[in-house]
Amino acid sequence: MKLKPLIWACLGGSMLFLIAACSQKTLHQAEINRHLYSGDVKGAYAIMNKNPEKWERGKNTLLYYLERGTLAWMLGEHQESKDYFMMSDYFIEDYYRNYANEALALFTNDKVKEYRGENHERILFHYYQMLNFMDMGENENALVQARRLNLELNRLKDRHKNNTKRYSRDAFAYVMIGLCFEANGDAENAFVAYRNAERIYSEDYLTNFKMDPPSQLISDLLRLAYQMGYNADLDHFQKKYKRQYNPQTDRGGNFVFFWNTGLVSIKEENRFEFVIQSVNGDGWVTFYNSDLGLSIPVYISGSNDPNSGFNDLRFIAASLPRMVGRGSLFTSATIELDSNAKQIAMSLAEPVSAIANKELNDRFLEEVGKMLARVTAKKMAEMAARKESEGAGTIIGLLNFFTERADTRSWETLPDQIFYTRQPLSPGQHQVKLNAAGPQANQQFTIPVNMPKYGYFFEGFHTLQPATTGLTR
Amino acid sequence: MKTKTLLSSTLALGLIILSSCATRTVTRIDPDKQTDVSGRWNDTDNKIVAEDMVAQSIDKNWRTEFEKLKTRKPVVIVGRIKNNTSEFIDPIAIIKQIESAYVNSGKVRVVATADERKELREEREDQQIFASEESRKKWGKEKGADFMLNGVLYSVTDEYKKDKIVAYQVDFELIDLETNEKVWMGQSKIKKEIKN
Repeated sequence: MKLKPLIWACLGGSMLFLIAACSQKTLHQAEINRHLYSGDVKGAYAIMNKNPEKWERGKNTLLYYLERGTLAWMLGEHQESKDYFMMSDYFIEDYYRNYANEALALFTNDKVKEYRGENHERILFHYYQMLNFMDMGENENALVQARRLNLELNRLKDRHKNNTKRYSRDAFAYVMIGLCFEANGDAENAFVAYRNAERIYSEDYLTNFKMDPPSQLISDLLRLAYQMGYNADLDHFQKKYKRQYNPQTDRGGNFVFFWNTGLVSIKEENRFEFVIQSVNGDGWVTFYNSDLGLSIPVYISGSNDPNSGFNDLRFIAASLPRMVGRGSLFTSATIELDSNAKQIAMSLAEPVSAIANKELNDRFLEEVGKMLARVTAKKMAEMAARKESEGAGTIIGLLNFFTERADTRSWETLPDQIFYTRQPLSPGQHQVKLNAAGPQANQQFTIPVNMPKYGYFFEGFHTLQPATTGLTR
Repeated sequence: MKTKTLLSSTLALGLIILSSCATRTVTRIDPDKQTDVSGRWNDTDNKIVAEDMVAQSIDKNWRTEFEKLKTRKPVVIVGRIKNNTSEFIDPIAIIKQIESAYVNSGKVRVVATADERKELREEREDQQIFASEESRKKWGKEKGADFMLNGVLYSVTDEYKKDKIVAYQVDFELIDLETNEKVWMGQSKIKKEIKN
């Protein structure tokens, strides 16, 4: 039986629709990255300004807000950065599943879904937003942001309730919350936040990322425990970290400095071939890949129907996202305040790339399963159509070829790592020197700081240089 | 048969894609209508809290005793409303609602807030140079407030997956500016259930 022209038109039309839906490039991120690798933030930012309405209506709205907020922050445009992060904030809060997109993703790929952000991305934009508020002297709003971050942390915990091995707690988030409480004169809540941070660093971060709690955090914990007369806590932390608290030498610090270094790992498409290893009559099929050493059972609806086309399949080729590290040229740093030439070491607080890798690894099996079910269903449709007409089979085959893509979207302007320290600094103008060091290069950066008359000031600085040279995207 | 299935699934797919391309419409609505879109704090909440607060406080002892003693209406200044919630709420909007509810009650007089006074004084200073003598306003005639109203806004969020309950509480205190005595304290509560 020949397909009628109407059917051909429908098939061709949907193919065009689907190709258009899937070919939406992720915000020219490669172009933005090329500017960033050469240190040209303004050039990267100019790209965001081209047709902003187009991006804001697409599937990458959240990504657009996050990237634009970050680039504006790098350029010191705090008001604009604040506006975009606030839009990210409301977007994340209001997002509920768009079922049309979810259904479409079953046929095509995850890329056609609205981007909702990885867990760590939903946490880290709060960090930038707090820096914006503190920079603009809006301490009370920074505290509102801290409370919002606390709600997001609760959501993250709820999502992974029964799986403590996953990235379900973020220590750095509690450091930020604690700092905002302290900056607003609430030592009690600051101490609680620092104590939470210390626990997560010494449990999750030590196991997953082999890192110790930041030295600055321990100093803050000891100082607040002493100030509030929490002697049991003071003793506990002094013993645990083999440090003696000396109230005479410790002056705390109203100047909090954050150093973002390098660029976060990004996702790349990777193709895998899975052999159909065994077929169970009840619809369960086992797929095997020797490179991954992975044997995975997936429920394939209709696999036991002889007319479904499943019997003609021997293997499935499909795409999955894989993390590619960009790293940082500088891996440690000290700061010098102009008042004295003492070198103050910065403490590593957030290994962003390591967290991003963990998140993807944590759900790798989930991704593989989803992808296998999707690709097999599409292949079965292709095989079934081929039996009927070679032409229809070819069209579906083409459709499958164009639509099968790994979702490689992520917030790419995040740093590889975040460090921080705090020091007392007098009101007025200062030139803070950041001495960044790495195995291949050392460099000094001078950062002007205008300390307010009263209270705290948070400053952040991003050294963009990645560790790897010759990155193409 | 199979061709039919293929056709219907292609059409369904097309519809799914098209369904995501909706157009925007705008309609003017009654400003007093209670509206809730995102579930966050909005103008309706400002209004509810301000009206509730004024209704609670207006006919209490602090005012009646003051009137008996001084034989005039008390003068109130609305001070600060501290935002201790996890939402960005503009306290000025609540302050304006309270001021308007007090003034409209006709039982209390309201004076300008600190920021407004600064601007008014600049204007008066300007008048001393540029305004005609008969229209020039004099210094030292400002009406001093008898009481100051302060408030703190709290919120507690309880959420799991798609269910969310937010309980707001605003604590108000009216303080005698001469004696620092808290002459009236009140609470206004709003609880919201937000379902996606």
